[in-house]
Amino acid sequence: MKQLSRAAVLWQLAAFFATLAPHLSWLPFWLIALAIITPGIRLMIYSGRWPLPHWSVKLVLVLAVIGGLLLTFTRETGMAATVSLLIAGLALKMIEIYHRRDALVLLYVSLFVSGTAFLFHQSILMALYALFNLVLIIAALNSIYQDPLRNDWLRPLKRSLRLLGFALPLMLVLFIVFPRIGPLWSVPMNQNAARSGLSDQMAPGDISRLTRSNDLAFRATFDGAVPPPQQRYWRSMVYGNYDGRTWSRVSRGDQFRLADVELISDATPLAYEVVFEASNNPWLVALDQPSAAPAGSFLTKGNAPLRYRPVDRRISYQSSALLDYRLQPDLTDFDREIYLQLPEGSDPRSRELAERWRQESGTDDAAIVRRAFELFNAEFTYTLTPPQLSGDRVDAFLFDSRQGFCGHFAGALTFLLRSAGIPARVVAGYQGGEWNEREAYLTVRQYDAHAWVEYWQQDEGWIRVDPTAAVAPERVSQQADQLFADDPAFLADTPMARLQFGNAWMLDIRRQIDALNFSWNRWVLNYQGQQMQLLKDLLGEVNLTRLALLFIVPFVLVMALVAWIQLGGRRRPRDPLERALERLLDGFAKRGYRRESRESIQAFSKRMASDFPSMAGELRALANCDEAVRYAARPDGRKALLAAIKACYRALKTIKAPA
Amino acid sequence: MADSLLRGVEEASRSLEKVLLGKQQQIRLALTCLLSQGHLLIEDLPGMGKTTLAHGLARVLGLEDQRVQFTSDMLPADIIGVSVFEPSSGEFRFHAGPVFCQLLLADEINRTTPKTQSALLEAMEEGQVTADGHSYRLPKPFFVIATQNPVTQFGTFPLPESQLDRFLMRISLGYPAPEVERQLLLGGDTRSMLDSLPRSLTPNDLLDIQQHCSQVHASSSVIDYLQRLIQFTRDSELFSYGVSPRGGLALLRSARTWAWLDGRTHLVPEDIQQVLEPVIGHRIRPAEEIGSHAGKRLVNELLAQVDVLG
Amino acid sequence: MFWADRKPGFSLAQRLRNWSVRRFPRNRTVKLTQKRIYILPTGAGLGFCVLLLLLLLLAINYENNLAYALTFLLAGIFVVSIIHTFGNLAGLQVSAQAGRPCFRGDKAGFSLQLTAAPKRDHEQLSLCWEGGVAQTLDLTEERMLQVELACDAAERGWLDPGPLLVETRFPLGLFRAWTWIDTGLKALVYPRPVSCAAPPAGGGEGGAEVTGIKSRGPEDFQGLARFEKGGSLNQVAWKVYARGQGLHLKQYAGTVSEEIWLDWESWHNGTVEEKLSGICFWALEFHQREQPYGLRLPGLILAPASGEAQRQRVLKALALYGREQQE
Repeated sequence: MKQLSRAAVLWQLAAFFATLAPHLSWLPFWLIALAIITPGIRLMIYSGRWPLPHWSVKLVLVLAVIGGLLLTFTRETGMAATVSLLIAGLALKMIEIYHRRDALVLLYVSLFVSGTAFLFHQSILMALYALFNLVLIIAALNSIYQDPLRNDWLRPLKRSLRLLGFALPLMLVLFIVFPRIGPLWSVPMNQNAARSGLSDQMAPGDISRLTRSNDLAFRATFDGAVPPPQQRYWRSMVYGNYDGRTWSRVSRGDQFRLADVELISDATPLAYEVVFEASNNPWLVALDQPSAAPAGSFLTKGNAPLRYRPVDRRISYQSSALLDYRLQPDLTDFDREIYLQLPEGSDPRSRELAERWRQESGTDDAAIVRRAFELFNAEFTYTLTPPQLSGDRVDAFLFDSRQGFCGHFAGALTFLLRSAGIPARVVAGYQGGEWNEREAYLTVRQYDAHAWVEYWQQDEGWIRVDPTAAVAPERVSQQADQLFADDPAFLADTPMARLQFGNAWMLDIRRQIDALNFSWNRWVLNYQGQQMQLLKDLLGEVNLTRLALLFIVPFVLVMALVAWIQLGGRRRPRDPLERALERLLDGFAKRGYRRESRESIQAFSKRMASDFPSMAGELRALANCDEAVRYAARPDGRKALLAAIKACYRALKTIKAPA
Repeated sequence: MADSLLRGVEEASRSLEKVLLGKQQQIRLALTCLLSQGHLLIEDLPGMGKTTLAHGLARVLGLEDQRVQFTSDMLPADIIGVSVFEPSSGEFRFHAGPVFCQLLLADEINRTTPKTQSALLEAMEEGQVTADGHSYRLPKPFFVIATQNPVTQFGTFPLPESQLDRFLMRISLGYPAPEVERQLLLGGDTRSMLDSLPRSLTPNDLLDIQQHCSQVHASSSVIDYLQRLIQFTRDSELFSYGVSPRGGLALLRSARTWAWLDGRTHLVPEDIQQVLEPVIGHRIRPAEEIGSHAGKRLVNELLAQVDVLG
Repeated sequence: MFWADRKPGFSLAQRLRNWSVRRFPRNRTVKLTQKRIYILPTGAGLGFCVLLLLLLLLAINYENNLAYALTFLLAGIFVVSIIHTFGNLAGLQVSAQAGRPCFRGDKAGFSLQLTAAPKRDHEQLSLCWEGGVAQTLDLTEERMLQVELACDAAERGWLDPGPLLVETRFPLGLFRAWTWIDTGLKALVYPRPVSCAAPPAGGGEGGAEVTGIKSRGPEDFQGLARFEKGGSLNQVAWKVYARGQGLHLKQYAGTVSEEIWLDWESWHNGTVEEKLSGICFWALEFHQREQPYGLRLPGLILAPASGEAQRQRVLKALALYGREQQE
């Protein structure tokens, strides 16, 4: 068993703390305390102030830790519990790092734990930190194989950097080429990290919370021109049910009986790609109207994309949209029944109003919609802080409070249209987004969440109308952040966010960072979404031969470079004198005159002078200069010596080497 | 000052060459040895001019010399001297032996017993002799030039390694070259010329020269080379044991003197190479018996294996 | 011979070693090239692979691309460390220099010289003989290093330590690069000196006692000393006294008058090894007293002499007694 040197023990400490650091944000407090105390115990033992702990002490510690873990993670068995267990193990191991084997266990587990840190944080900074952490761990690993008597701190670090420097290109090649396959088994995801976006039901009042968050919802890039703000309706869910209080999706049983989606369009599909943030919900977004479901999802009967599994991590997918379309030109009786459904006897005043409009407009459904818009436009206020509603909520909104946000307007309009006998439904999703000119992508945040209405017309199908636009047209044509810049309620939860809108250069920086983050998300975190396209771009055609070449060629190149540098020796700055002299002696050797071991430069020069009388002068000068520098303690003669060597070499070159 | 000393040495060297024809290299080595304050061992067959060289050296260096022919029945007292009781004064008086001189020529040192040998060698090492509990200092400078017959000769007590180490150099004269031999035969005995050799240096000059020699600069390149040579004798399996630290110092001291005799104030590798065989030849031993001239062959191997430039 | 006496190895590792040793001619100086160096993952390396697999599962199941990236980066390090480990051994020059003799039961030292490849560091090289204790060393600041590697000397005669194993796990311990070198080094193992109280009288012809009794011979006269009370009158130098120079005692040298022979024939009891041990002890004893001594073994006679050379000759003869035929 090899004992660890002092330097090695301290490197282990450094690696341990560096590995611990990214987990501090979520680890239970007692575990952090343990991780600080145990290295302290180790140091006390190390300095001889404390004796080695008795086995019973260790046992008590282990039992205490297991008890603590069981108490802290009572029900969860997810990654958080696993990582906590590993960290607890590391912390306990710190007490007894004596031998090489102990250090190996510590470092290997540290490597795994540093990998699990990516489940909690995936930012660029985190990646850079992980790289730094890896440098420390590899240095620590090297330190246990160093000469124990050598107390050189930098040596392991240098070795670590040298190893990592060459491993990076190999990593890149593997990263690009390695096939990404789906999860082998489903894993419970840590709930802390997820944030809810839209909800699968809408009771006006709920959605206000969303509008206040500037969390990222998703980003999108387009294969063609970006659609104008008025067309950026990202549908996510369709609410067909209303129970007098809450709008929700059509029940599962009814979903099956609804007719299949029929989408008719002559327009060219607009292809785009979405990088969707983790939401822990299965619904995705699709620009009106999606013609096909993104991979891993399907389109509901309301033509909204729904994923088979919740989005528990950031994903990316491709889709395409038809901006000009006819959706469901015919409606089955069942569909009609569903989309006309209203709760029995609720909101009498609203029903009365709708029936009045129906009588006044005759069969012109569009006129009824216009009437509603006129009403909203004339007497309603758009606000993020509407009063609470109760009882007949639609009546209360339409006739009493007369202020609200998109949810109120969309719900009320759908109610009115259904009361007037027009099939209608609420569509929830996002509207708008911030266009980043530099990187050509659209950022949509949670405050862009929106709800609008679709009503059905024979032969025309579902028609999108946005009642909010009638009240506050800017809401649709402008970005939410510009629209609500003066509203104190907007972004009230995130005071720092407000600063970002303060001045132009701040905004510019924010955009740049945002752009960087977007590239990071797209090319690194969601590389599986880009892999096929990238490989196609790189290889032209993806087949096994080319893929193998793409892997092998850079791999071999890198390895050859490593071998060249590692085996060719370190590039120590060599004495130019020695180098020149070596070249000269090689020159003589090529001509069959080899210096013998016993011959000094002087003796050799003398011998050569008799064999090459033409260069006797140069040789004599060489002998004298060399003697002066090498033996006569006249180091100022180095320049002259170099000149003499070079003169000799020039003279030698005029003499032909024998064939 | 240094120049006049150097001229004196050159003159001495020329004078010696007149009595010892064709032995320029050996004369120079012998001078180097004495100027380095070291004792000299000359190993050769009888009649090769060992005694002539020793006498000549004493003469030109202006040293008071004594010659002792070593025999198997010789006692330590014969060299060191004896305390004799004087009835007239009723006291013991120390009668100094031949060792009390500036240059002792110990002829055929390996013909005497180890006991007597070690008595002499102790005097060489310590610069003093002990008799009857009293220590007597030897004069300064004090040199020993010992001659010995090749070990293979009959009736010899070879010097042990520990005592060989006390000689700075071991040289052999060898047969003269044919043309020199002819000259020798024609010119008659050169021994008679010994007494007419001029004194070129004084004992004080020798001390001054030693001072100068010790100031010859040895660069780190030369020291490195020297060290590699010594290390090789210790590590290589050609040698059963290598050069001792004292041997290394002896090598450096001799090389410095050689460089000074060349008129240089710094050492070059050639200086070491020139004195290498005489200085370490008797301090090393081949791992396996490789016959005569083992020392020379080993040294050649050593020079071929150790690169001057490192 | 020690090495040859062992049964040929049948395990895979032993067979691989024997094969790899045979592949290259015996050489004093060996430069480690890729042909000689073997490299395989260690246990820790396999553990690292398991870790990679776990991380990959994490990445796949959570579809976490950063976890993928970490996994691939570690995989990259794994692969790059092959070259680092290999490079830590490659280019190293190992010169076998000499085997130092020892007595049976001691450890024979073998000196090796390691020379670093130009401009390269070699760290944590571990050298050992088969089954011996490994010695770990760095070749960084020094470009050349002398190593003395010990091997147990269990048998008298020539000790062949077997192939030299040079290995390293640097820098991360994930791989082990190693090579076997047939150095051809041998060391003499002398018999273990065992003191015996009364060594038998030496040799048939005129054997004097070897314990070193002073016997007087004319050539051993050393000098005169002043007479002190109790001095033997036999030793008084009467001639000196007659000259009126007072009473003196003649002093004689402490050497034995006759040659000492360590004779095999006169050692009667004990096994061969015990006899050799006894002779060895006395040889060392005489060497220490600087007394010339000779050796007579069946078929071998070494004339009396003293000094280091004689010691080596005698010990070598003892070490190889009865062994030479097996060469």
